[in-house]
Amino acid sequence: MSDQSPDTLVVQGVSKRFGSTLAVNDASFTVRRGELIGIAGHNGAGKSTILKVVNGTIAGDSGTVTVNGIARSADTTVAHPEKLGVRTVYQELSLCASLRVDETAAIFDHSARGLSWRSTAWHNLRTVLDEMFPGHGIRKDAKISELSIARRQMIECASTMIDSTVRPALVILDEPTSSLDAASTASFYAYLKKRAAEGVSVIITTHRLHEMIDNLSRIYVMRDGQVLSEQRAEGATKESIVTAMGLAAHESSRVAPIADSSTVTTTDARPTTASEVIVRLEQPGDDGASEVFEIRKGEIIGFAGLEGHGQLLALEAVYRASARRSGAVRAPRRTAHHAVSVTGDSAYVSGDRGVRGIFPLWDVATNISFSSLGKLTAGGLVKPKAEAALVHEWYSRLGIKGQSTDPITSLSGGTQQKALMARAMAVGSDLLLLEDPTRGVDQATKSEVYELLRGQAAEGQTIVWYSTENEELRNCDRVFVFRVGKIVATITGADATEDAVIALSFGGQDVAPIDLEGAVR
Amino acid sequence: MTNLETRPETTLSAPTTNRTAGTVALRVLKHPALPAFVGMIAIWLAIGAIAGRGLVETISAGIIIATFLVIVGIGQLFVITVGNGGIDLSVSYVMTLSAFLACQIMAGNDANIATGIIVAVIAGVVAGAVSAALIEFVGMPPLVGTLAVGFALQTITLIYSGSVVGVASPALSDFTTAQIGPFPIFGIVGIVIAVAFAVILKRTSYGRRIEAVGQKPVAASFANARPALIRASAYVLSGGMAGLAGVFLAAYSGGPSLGLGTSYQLASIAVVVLGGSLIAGGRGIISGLWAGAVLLTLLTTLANITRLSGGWQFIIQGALIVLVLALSRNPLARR
Amino acid sequence: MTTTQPVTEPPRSLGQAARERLGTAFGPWFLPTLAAVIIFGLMVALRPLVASPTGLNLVLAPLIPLIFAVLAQMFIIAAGDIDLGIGSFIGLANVVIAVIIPDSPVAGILFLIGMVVAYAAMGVLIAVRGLPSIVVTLGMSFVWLGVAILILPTPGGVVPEGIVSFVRFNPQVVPGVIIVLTVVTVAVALFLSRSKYGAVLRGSGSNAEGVRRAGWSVIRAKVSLYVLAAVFGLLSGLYLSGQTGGGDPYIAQSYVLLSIAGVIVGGGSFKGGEVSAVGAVAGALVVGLLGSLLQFIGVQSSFQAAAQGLVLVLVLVLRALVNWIQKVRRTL
Repeated sequence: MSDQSPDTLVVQGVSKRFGSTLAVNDASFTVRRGELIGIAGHNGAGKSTILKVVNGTIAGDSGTVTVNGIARSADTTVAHPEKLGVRTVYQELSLCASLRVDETAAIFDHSARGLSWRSTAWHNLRTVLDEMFPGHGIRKDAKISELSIARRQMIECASTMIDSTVRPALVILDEPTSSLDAASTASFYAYLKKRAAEGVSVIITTHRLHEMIDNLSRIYVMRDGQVLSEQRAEGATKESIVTAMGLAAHESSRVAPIADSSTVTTTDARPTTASEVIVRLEQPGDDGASEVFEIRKGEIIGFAGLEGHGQLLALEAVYRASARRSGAVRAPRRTAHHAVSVTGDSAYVSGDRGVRGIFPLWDVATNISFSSLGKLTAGGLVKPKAEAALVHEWYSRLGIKGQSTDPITSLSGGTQQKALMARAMAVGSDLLLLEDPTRGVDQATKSEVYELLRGQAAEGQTIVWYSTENEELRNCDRVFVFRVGKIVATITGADATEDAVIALSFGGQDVAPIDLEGAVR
Repeated sequence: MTNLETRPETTLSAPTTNRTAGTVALRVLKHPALPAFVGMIAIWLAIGAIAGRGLVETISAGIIIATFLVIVGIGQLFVITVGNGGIDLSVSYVMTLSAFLACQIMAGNDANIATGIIVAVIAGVVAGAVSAALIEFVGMPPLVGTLAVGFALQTITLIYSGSVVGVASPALSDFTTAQIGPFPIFGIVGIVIAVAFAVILKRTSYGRRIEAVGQKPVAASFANARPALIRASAYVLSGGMAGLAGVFLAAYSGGPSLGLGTSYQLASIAVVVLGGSLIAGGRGIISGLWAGAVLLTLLTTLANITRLSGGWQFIIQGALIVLVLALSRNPLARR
Repeated sequence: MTTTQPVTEPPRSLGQAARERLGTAFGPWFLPTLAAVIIFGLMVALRPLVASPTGLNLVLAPLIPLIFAVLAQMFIIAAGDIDLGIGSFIGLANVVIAVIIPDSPVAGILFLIGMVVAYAAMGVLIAVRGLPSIVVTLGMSFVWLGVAILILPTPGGVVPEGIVSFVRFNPQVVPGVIIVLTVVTVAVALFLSRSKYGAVLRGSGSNAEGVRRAGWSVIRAKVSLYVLAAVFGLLSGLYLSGQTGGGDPYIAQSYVLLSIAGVIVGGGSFKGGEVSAVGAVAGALVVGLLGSLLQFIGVQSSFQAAAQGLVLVLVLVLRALVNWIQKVRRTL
């Protein structure tokens, strides 16, 4: 590169707001030439957004981004980041299923031209592939749609490192190793280190914290859109990073971590009530006999573990297995890891509001009443007064502000989430299922939500709660900790400290790289 | 919940909007059906000004002819509103086949009206069910599924129509043209049907599910709705409505003909778009559809009065639909 | 749903390996080509004269306009869209060639160029505003038809002699249709699967966002595909004009379904990007020859449309079935 300033990337004071959510809040960080850095944070912490502002895909609201010494205002987009030497691999893969491997290589490789464009592109890609993933087994004439996800990910990663018309200077990798096995991951990082020595800078986000610690030089931790801390990789531990990600004021509840164990660890957490069983999860145990986990009426159960270890699959299975009427029973539902049977009906609240939650064309009232229309109709018609009464009741019970005739999209993320809670709670179902319901929600709202859930449980509603924020789990009666798809421990809510849950999630060993939920989302 | 009944109704006023004249006016101005109504009135007045025809006769004739379009259009509206690229290109073929079937059964006899109508609607429902099966279970794109069914129906009609001479019942024919004073009965029936379906779409749980599935099928599936089933029902409804429109149109025009439904394939989509419904699904506006249907009908009248050739009529209709689409705002679009 | 994805994948079953080899060796065009050959064989069996150069010309010549229409539709389907206006567009081209070109060749050619530009504009509109291609092209089909009717209200007009003789060009050594068929297929296939921009075009249909991230203009790709479709629509109109000698706005209405059927039978997919030129031409031949075969057997012409539609439905149902079986196998 012509410019020899020591910093490949300087991000200063970048903010980005989506509607009422502040996705990135005054973020600043620096990547030096030839440095490998990581960005850690939960889903919705703002990692993807800040990276998209950096490569110019989306315009930020304020701040500056300096690449290779060339500064630009963050509120501009860049049509061709690859011409600045900025390459990106996104979480959603960007390969074209209908093309061959060598054609795919050529799409990325603008230097492959003329009659031999395919062989040139393939040669360039294979040079990187062979070194990055020895024994990758990818043939040039294979169609992308025939390749496994892992091999597609290899092609994407390798394509960022080819020497096209502009050599790579800053490579941004968003979850690059989510489908790679341990050997491939190791050779991948070895290759990155080699290229870093040549002056290429790399930013990586991954949920696999041990990868960051083992391979990168520095790690920035993001939460709620802010870059909160910077840690040097040697010195950092999984716990230190997770603690920074959680930023929990939980020192008071900190207890000694439960002894690590590679086998199933279960504290003496028994059902808190002797009432009827609402949910029954069955999984094969290590010794071949099946293990049964029961959830009883009025309990609050947390599903915990590292992200992507099967909590979401289990929660969805509970939803799909539940009946349409209160008290009824449907046939058990099987997943890869569990057989799930449920007594009674259920309502579901998703923290993924945009895709799995709100109906964006409707006002708040229509959004809230949607799941309860059955009990609001007379002669097939929705009774306007009954609907208004229901909406009003939940407006006041959840403290939702504003007019019920406002479009739902005009509300802040937290208020939208309250409206979704209202929709589910208004059903009055036997079972309330929560999928990370406080994602991107402010602290005050969170406290209100916790209060509300305890109230619902006291009224006899059973609550199953999947959370990515371990500090929340203290609100549960019992917590099921998932690892690699299975429940590996059940602990009481009181024992469910950040440290305890993390210890159980890792099980005292490096967890196999995994993304069970990749297929679900 | 349990305390729903105990809560006094007097507290209801708090979160709902105070309906002052200003907010009502604003709601009318922002209503997606407004352009259709404005256009309808403009063309109505233009006909009066250009042709010097009585405004009342113009609109009452227009409302009658528009009713066929309203009936088919409602089915099309449900299919489009339920989303997933939903579109029903078989309606014109369903109309023609139903017209032949019903007229053969009625055979000019008033006693057979009910049977004729029922058979026509059932034929449409079956066609809609086949489309729904092809789309939701086989996984064909709606366009191909409904077009394939349409061509099958066309062939059936071609073969079958050669052997029958159907005549609509005179009473049904009279019904489509009769007037009480200045009010055309059939036109009023069209308005009643439109109101009924507007109520179904906005005030029943079925209608809400149609719109919900059209907006976010995944969100709907997590809120106790079954998207595939809801979508399938829209195709069945569309088939039934097309069948009904076919009988009425045959009665109005004296008997069935092979080209009976042809112009309704595009027109039924055009009225949905003109009426302010979203082409991507999730929002259906039946009042706008009614106005759009009258607008299109009056446009044809205007074209006839000004002796505009058939070519121009095609151009105007086609360009109108593209133009409205190009100008319409998608409230879900991010950028 | 495995926990890890080993780099060295498990050994494949013999059938799987064979299928894969078959897939890469023959591509999606193999089955439709085989089907076309079988149908042609049946026709020869019924009427041996079909195999003679004259017979070949007689049977294949009427299919040339359909083949162009299928290629036009193929470009649109490659873009992930569907064109319901191609029939009317070809009809308009036919009318322009039969009415305007004889009077004023310059005006006629400008008109035809304007039609291509209009298609490009349509592509921009669909790409930029994210409109459903089905509704836009259906609306535009009425515009094309309306314009054609304005120019020529009832069938008539005379196609210039030069065009007629060009279209009916038939050197005795090799049948003219074979030359046209070969040249067009090879040219389109080379462009689409052997040129870099062809790969970009196919890629943009299957994952526009991915192609955009790699630094290509997705809108330009869309416009290119629409322009190509328009050009092949014009060629279809040209051959239709030369063969019929006159103009008729409604002449190509049946091409809407037939062209979609041809692409799908030829291995194309509505997902976008999955198209093959050889497959599309073979698909067109299957659909077209099927009509001729039915005629040979003495099936009424009214049944022919149904039979051709049925082939489309059958192919789609079969594919859905195969997909379903594969899915079930994977989960087992």
